[in-house]
Amino acid sequence: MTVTAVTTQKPETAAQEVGAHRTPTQVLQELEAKAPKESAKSRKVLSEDRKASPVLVNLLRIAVVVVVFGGWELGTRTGHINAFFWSSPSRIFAKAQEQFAAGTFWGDIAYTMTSSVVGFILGTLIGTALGLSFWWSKTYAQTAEPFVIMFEALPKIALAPLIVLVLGVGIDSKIALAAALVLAIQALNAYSGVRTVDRDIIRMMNSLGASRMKIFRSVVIPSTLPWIISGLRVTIGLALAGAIVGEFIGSSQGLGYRIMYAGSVYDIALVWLGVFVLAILSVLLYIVVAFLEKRLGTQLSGKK
Amino acid sequence: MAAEIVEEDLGTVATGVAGSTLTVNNVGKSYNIAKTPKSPPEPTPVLQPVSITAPPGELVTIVGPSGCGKSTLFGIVAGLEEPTQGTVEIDGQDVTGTTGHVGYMLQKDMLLPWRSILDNVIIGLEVRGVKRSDAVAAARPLLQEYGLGDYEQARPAQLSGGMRQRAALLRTLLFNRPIMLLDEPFGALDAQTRLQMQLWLLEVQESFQKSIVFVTHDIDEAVLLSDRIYVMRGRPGYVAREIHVDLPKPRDTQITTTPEFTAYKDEVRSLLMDKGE
Ligand SMILES: Nc1ncnc2c1ncn2[C@@H]1O[C@H](COP(=O)(O)OP(=O)(O)OP(=O)(O)O)[C@@H](O)[C@H]1O
Ligand SMILES: [Mg+2]
Repeated sequence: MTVTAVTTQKPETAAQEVGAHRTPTQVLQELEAKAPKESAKSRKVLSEDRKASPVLVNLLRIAVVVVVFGGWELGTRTGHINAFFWSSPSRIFAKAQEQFAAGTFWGDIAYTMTSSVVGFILGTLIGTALGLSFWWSKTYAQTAEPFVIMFEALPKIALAPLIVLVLGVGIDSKIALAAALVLAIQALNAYSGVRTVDRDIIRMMNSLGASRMKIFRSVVIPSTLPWIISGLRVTIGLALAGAIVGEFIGSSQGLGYRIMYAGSVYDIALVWLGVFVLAILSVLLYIVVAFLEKRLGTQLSGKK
Repeated sequence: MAAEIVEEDLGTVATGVAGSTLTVNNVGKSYNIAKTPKSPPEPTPVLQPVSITAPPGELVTIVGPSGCGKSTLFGIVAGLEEPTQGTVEIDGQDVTGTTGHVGYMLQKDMLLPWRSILDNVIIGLEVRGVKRSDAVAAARPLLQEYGLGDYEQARPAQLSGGMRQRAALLRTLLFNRPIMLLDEPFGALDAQTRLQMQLWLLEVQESFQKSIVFVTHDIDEAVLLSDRIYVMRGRPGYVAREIHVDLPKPRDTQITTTPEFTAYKDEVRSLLMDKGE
């Protein structure tokens, strides 16, 4: 049907083009004649910023937690869930009391936190510097671009055994893995930022006789920062993942090591404890980064 | 008030508050433009050779249709682009293709969104290496004078369009070159603010004796402000006529109703409207 419509329409439009010149008014009138008749229904727009009741939301959240953990506990007690493989909330809680009292667990937390945070900072700094450096030369930037993209696309986790082999089972290899995951993303983020620097602002700076260095410092860096900052929330999670994988491969400390070890001796409660602690840590890091992002964001855009 | 702005020796080219002549000799520009997406780019003139003079303390206006090459000409005078032919001279010195000699206000305000208004208006002095305390001391009274005193710590996003343009103009003024290029500085303003700004520019020009070259689409504005008007036509553009406006200065809005004023307006309008060669 559409095919015939097109074929019949063609000569028609051609005839119109050949025909007399049409004024804009005529064009609009003809368009209106062809347009489908609107039915007389007008919509009521739902407000985009209508709010959910915070009390209700919090109650529902608590309900979800109670149902999941309650069901889990109940399931293991009634034998519907195999407590050997799945453990149970009460056992995990008991395990937590035991582990935190013993003290080694704190050391593991500190170890994992250190390697992820240091890796995160290193990766952010190096990645940002790399991305920003592309501003200085188009030849250099275009030469490097495919390699950076390749490194970004590569599952860097696959390099973990190699990195642990080269840098050893100490904290260096964990930091390096965390940094590698962060670095690639931030380099591309910074490069995207560099490419969107307003060319007219650079013209304005040039008209003042500013040096390349001055333009870099006063225009390129500040206008790239939002790109870096918006990447931080994603990369903090990656840094943690990198550190954990490094510990999986070879380590004598850290939450990743602890989880791995617990799994190998069928201490499922300890595995769960490690996972829950990791979840809490990643949320904490996320909150810190989100806070920093908000602070820096308001500073840069100037919107209060 | 502006006397405290620090003078700096730029060697060959005179700097300072007033007293330089800008001469544009037969400046023309071609860009390599592909006519169709497939054809190879070929040199296409966007500006035919034009000659323009702005003597010390004169306000010179360029009026012309959109696309005739006015911004291109400004880019060349500011040293941001090389002309295909011709030279740009300041007091007889060839400055073609070099930057930093003129204060240039682009068509958009180009304020840096992450800087406060104060830091935005002193950026030219910052580039020149003026001490921050000196620059701030010069900027404060001017910000105050031109209605931005309460906003010096605000970010550009918090200002109205008119205030942003005033800040951009102030940045150009504070760069403190004897020659200023203003590309449609009041284009985006409402009628009342626009008039205020025009009177302000007359005042600035009166007190600082700068040579100002000004692009506008508004014929009233051109006649009210100018000592001379270059009317451009065509694409690529050329100067169709140079008009000396012999209206008494200082001017205010009353002058706009006089027959002399109307006569100048009619002359410019008929040149712009006349499609034939
Ligand atoms: N970098 C460029 N490359 C190719 N063509 C360009 C370039 N810059 C400008 N042009 C062309 O040069 C012509 C003149 O542009 P210009 O911006 O100087 O016009 P204008 O007189 O300032 O117009 P307006 O009044 O609309 O600001 C236009 O046709 C434009 O397409
Ligand atoms: Mg223009």
